[in-house]
Amino acid sequence: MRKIISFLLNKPSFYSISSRLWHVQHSPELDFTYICNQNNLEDITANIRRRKGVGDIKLVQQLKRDLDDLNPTDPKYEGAKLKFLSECKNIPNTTHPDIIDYNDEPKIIKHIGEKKEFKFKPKEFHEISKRLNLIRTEQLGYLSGHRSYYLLGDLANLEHALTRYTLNNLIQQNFKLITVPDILHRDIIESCGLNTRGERTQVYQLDERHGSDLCLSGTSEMALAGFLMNRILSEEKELPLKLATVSRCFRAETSSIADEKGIYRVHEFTKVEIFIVTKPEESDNMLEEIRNIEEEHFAMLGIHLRTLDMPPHELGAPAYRKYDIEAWMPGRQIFGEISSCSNCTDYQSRRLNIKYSKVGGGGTEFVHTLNGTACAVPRMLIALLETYQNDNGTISVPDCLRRYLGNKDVIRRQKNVPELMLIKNKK
Amino acid sequence: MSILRRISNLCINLRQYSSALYITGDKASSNFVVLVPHIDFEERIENRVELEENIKLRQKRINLDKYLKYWEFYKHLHEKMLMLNGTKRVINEYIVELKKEPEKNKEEIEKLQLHAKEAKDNYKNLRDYIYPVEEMAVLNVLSIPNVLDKRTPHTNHCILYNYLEKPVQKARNHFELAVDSNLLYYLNPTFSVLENDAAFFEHSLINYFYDILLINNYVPTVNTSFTRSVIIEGCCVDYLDPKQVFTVYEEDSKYSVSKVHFVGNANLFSFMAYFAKFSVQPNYLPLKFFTSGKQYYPLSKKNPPKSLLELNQYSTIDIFSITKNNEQDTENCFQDVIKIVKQMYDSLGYHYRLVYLPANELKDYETLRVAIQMFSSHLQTYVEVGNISLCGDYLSKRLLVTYNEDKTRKYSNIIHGTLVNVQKVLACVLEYNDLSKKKLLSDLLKKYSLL
Repeated sequence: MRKIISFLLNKPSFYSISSRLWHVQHSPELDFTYICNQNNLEDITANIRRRKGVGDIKLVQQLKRDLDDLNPTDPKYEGAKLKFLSECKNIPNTTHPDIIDYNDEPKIIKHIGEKKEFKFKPKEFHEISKRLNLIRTEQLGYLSGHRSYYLLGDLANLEHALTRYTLNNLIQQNFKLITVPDILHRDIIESCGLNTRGERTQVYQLDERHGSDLCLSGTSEMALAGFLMNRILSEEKELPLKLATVSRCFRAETSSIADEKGIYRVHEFTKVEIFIVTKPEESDNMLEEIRNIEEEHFAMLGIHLRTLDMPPHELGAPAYRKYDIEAWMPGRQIFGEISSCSNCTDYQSRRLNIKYSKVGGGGTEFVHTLNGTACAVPRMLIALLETYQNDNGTISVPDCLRRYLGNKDVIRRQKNVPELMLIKNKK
Repeated sequence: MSILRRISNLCINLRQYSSALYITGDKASSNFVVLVPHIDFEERIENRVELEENIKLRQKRINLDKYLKYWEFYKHLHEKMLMLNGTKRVINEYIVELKKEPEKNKEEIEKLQLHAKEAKDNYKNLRDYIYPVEEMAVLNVLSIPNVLDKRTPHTNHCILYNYLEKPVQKARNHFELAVDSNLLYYLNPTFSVLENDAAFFEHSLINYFYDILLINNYVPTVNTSFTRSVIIEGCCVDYLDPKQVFTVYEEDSKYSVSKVHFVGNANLFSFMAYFAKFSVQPNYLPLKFFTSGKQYYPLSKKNPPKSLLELNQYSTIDIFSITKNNEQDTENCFQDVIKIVKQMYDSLGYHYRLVYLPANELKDYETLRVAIQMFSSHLQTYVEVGNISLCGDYLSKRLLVTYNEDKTRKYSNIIHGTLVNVQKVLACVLEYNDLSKKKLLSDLLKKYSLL
């Protein structure tokens, strides 16, 4: 009886989107020549160890030998092939030779600006924003969920201004603006190199009654990659392809770090993301270009920055090289990550089947993909408010944002937002 | 397992799926009671003729007689419980008094202790019995819709305002037009991407509406996209229905009445989650908030056509106003929104109209709904691209959005509106432009585009 009720109450909705409408390939054309070559066993093992990643190359090569021993007509062949493919997908990307010897520490490659001097003890974001009535983070757990927040008045306006300012800069750099979906099929997210299952996953899933395998996008990088899935781009007309988008990002964030008050680590936020597709030989230079664009863009906002070249174990599975940009947060007295950019070479393009056709009919090849954070709003708000706080408790608006805020130069206490008083339950 | 046990388990299971908005005492130990809605059924039933007419016009299947009977039974039991509780208290007080001279009153004390035990047992039995009756009675009355505004038409749409003439010719389908002009990449209703001028159209339209609301002294907010079940049910949506609202998968939350729902950050739910269970200082009223963001909802049709009108995700701008519970303040605020909507849409330069929807098309919480409609020149029907809803104090009573005046708790009037749904406006504009050969990015929108 219980099973019947459970079935009736949990039966899939008839309106769910069927998996077949997503067209994600299940047998990607990975670089089998490299992965399965026994001469590479040592290199790949060392790479996995250095990256502290998952993946068992010995098993992959053993499975390959087992598969080769089977006749394709053998009933066991399909099962063996699936197992082989599934293990292959766990092998991480190769690593840029320059960073192999970094061990566990990132290398600081640049400082921009200087730590701002204060004549008073600078406050932390949550204190400044609370005092000016710019945010609500309390008493929301039972109404909207754990770690929810609402930005109010000028702080909401500042988010809008930051996205407008960022997109403007990117359009001027010839980025193509698109808008992206926030609900994605699990396969797209996994093809981008992120695990969607297990207790520690960062990925939210929708209830199975909405259709199998629907997840929430943690970064628009995935939707942008999904947008290019199964395409052949023209080298002559379309490459390099530079895309920019603004979207809401959702992260399950299972870890609870006590000292991260306010909005440093949240379940959802607005982010401007860039995604670039290049020919293989151009991706290294393109990563430097993205880094420059981001550094210049953040420097214009007048915050103190440093750029880190990340060591192998910080790359995740897809990246070949990754830079993080950190901003000085004077209230917290730390450098906090505000942006990162990665070169994923052909890791994502092979899994999502993104190719380019060479000039003059030279056939097709997998493209390289790169991505970068142009503006992750909450961390940017922390850096800005802590840097631009004045001793009277107000916040000055950086010059480059004023035109998006109706030429406002100072943010003061919000007088049009009421303080709320909790009602106690009574029957 | 005996049949009785099975039936009992079945009832427990079914009851575990019940209300997130009204939680009876027996369930309060396993479910946190976020709030207790204010129930005004007895006031509503005083004007029974009006209530019956309302239910009839809304075409609701509500048996008022049955609801009233249940309610009265519940009230009767409730009074009895209060009486027993009172009796219990009086006896106990008397026993305390008698115990001052225990030897003298020994016999009487024992007799009274027996009475006290009997009253206590009766009280306990009645309490266990009353919970299901209470739940049924309260959920019944909570399902009664809001009152109707005098302006809500009984059966037909009523046009309030019409701007420019409706195009006569039939246009090509917006979907084909968008795909042919590289404005849209569409994989399925969940995954669609606006490209080129369509992407700029979205940003410009949002920026334009955003700036107009700022100029009109609306306060911007950035809201949360997740909302708990209590808010969903408080806003008259069945939180367990996968066709109405997205639910986030959580381990062990199958039987929870506090699920997390994925609704987007620009809608009624996210504003109600902000104000629910709180009191606002009256000097801040009327409050005028707005937000720009997303709405996510499941599709209502099986195998929907390829269309911008049938997506899981929309970009919208929503307003949310709270006024004191008096007609004039609310009306002023409502007229203010109408004025702003006209200002916004007139200058876009396309045909649209404002329409009062008839009673049977209203949501349960609405007293009046103004639909902002543009014309689909392909489908030859009007499409609702936005709306303004008068909600009276109905939602405030359910979710406790209050203010204090003259030392009493008052329930605010609420106005909510999705002033623009970008993808739906885009669909209509593409079809208008197919006939008029206008460009997608008008001079006005270019002013609000990114550069």
